[in-house]
Amino acid sequence: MRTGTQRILCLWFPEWTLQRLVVARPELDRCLLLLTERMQQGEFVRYGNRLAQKRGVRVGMPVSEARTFFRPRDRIIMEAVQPPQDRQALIELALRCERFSFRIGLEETDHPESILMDVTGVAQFFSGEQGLAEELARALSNKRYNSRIAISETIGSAWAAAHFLAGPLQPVVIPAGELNRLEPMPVMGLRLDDSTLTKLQRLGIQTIRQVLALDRASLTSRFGAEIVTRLDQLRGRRPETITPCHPLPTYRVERNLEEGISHPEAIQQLWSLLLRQLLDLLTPKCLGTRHLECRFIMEDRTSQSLSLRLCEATNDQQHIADLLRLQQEKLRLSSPVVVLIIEALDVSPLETIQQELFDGGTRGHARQFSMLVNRLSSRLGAEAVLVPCLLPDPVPERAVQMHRVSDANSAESTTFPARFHGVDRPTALFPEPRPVEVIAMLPDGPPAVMFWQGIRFDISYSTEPERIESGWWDGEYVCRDYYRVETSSGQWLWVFRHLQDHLWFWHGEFF
Amino acid sequence: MGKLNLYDTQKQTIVELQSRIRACERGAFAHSTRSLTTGCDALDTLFPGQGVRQGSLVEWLGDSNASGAGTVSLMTGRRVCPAGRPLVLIDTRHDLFPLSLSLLGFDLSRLILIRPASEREALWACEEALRCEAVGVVWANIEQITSTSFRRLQLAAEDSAGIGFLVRSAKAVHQPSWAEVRFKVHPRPSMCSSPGFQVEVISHHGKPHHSMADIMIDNWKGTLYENRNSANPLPLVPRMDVATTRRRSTGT
Repeated sequence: MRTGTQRILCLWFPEWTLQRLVVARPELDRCLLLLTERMQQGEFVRYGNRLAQKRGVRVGMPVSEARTFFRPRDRIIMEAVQPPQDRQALIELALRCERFSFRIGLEETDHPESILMDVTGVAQFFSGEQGLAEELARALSNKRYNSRIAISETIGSAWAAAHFLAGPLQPVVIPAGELNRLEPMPVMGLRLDDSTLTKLQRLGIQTIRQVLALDRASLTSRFGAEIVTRLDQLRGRRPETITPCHPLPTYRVERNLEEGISHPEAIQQLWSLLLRQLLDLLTPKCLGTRHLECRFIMEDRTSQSLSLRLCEATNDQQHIADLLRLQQEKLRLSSPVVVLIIEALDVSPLETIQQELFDGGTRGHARQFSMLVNRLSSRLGAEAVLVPCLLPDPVPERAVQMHRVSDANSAESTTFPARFHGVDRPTALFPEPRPVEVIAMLPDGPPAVMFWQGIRFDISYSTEPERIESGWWDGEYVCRDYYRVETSSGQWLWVFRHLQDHLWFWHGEFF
Repeated sequence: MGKLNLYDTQKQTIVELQSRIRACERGAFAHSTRSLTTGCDALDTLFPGQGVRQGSLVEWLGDSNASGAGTVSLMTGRRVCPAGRPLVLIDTRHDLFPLSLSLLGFDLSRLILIRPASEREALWACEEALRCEAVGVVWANIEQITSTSFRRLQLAAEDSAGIGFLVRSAKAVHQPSWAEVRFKVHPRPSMCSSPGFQVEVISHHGKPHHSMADIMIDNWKGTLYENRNSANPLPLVPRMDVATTRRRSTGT
């Protein structure tokens, strides 16, 4: 899904931990300030201010070593880093920037240093995006913050531009459709973890352009799925949202009973009542829910929950009640229920319905299909209603990943190499390969006769072997020669010879 | 559009007469339904309406391992599934291989795979899916279906004008059925790089009927076509292609 009209502002505070302290206590700027972190091996320098760096103190240095650089007259302040306080201070600052955006959040890392703002449609109030960014930069500068600002069409591109293109009081605005301007930037702009960056550097890959030139399948197999995800997020091919800092309102109703109830009809009547109360909270705001949790607390203080996930946001009481009823059948309550809580965990506007599971077709059909999938998932379990997704792995049992329908939008199938055709793979693949006895006419040749559980299969035709071999980096090493064989009665089977131990297995069939 | 010739007119007349006879035999259908071609003429002629009628069930019976009933029914299902509608596959055996479906031309993004824990759940899911007008084709491999359950499935399909394909073992041949047509699929030695099958009609509307077609899978297009060489009187000589060159597919 390409989000072409969206505009995201990234506001980065280099060394935020240090900045926070210096802004709060300006006198620290005249001291030799070190922020330290205690690890298993000892205490290390995490941040040092300009004066500390001038003395020769480096980040990552043991504190004992850093002390050797101090001079007798230096006013030294050493404090331990406090990530929760850093995050809280950044949130407070983000909330103070609310006049620039209707949706503000932090970057999603353990030690955030950037604030993300959705500024779609806001720029007109600030004489354009450049004006908006400059006004924000001036406001922060007045408060003694050192910031870098960039505006682009995706979170990934705005983040990269803020870190590698923007300067102090020099915001960068990347117009829509010009994301290729980011290609010469270093790979650090992709927000990858340290191990992936090290691997890329070892291979001599320095820029985003070099990464883009590589084959996606091989990128995934060598570096994991994260790198492809980050590339897609940078280019807007995979959606990424800002989690707002503002605490969201909770939609929850609860009923405490003086005496427990155990009769299914009474329980159903109670949750029907609470469900109506919950939907009365959502309906006036035109909101619906995609995830509902129903929690039963019993007299013996144990509890059980029903979790309902839906394909799209809904506030249709009848539909939700039907789905809960299907789930209630599976509920086994050990003692009478004394407390019932219903909470809508995922709430979204009814108008902005999630991406349709199936494009095309009429809106009515899409809605009917959503309701069907909800019913199937409620009764059979979400793990039983699946959307297949192909992976770039040649080993058959690892070539397909099953996603729940509710997660299907995030699933992306790869394409199988074009040299494969219709019957190159069997329509049924056994969960476990079946060990078989085989007689071959030639050593290392195709099977002539096959035995499985006392059944004899005379092979009359066999295709050339297809060698399937996994990469050494994929964990369990697989090296097999697969044959599509036809029995004398016309059955088509898929068998393989394990090249390490020369054992034969029957792995699939055209059932 | 081509000129309508005498042959086409006759064929059309026969189809119309057949549908009138069907309506008299089993009551008029609630919806005006049409027949969808399977893309293989030989297979089309085995159906009462020269194709798969919307609002009907079709039963595919297979003898043993690798009978081909599942494969032929899946390929037919893909062909007759109306454009833009999803396919629901109820995989009771939990062994359907989506990679193969993709190679056979299925659009995996328009496919829902249901893997129920029991046949009872599979039957419930099948009825629910058949009842939904948005679903193009419901495919299920369910072994045990009572006459009442079968009738419920048939009414569900008729209500929604959906299509239901049921794959069962040949043991089910003596059980009552509400399918519009029942096929038995036998594997046929093809001695080439594609599997061949013989599709035999067991009954039309519950009445015994016997006609058959020899079909093969087109490995390149992923479609079914009539095997006109099946009447070859020459004995089948066992042949084995010894590996001379090896295809390699590695993770690199």
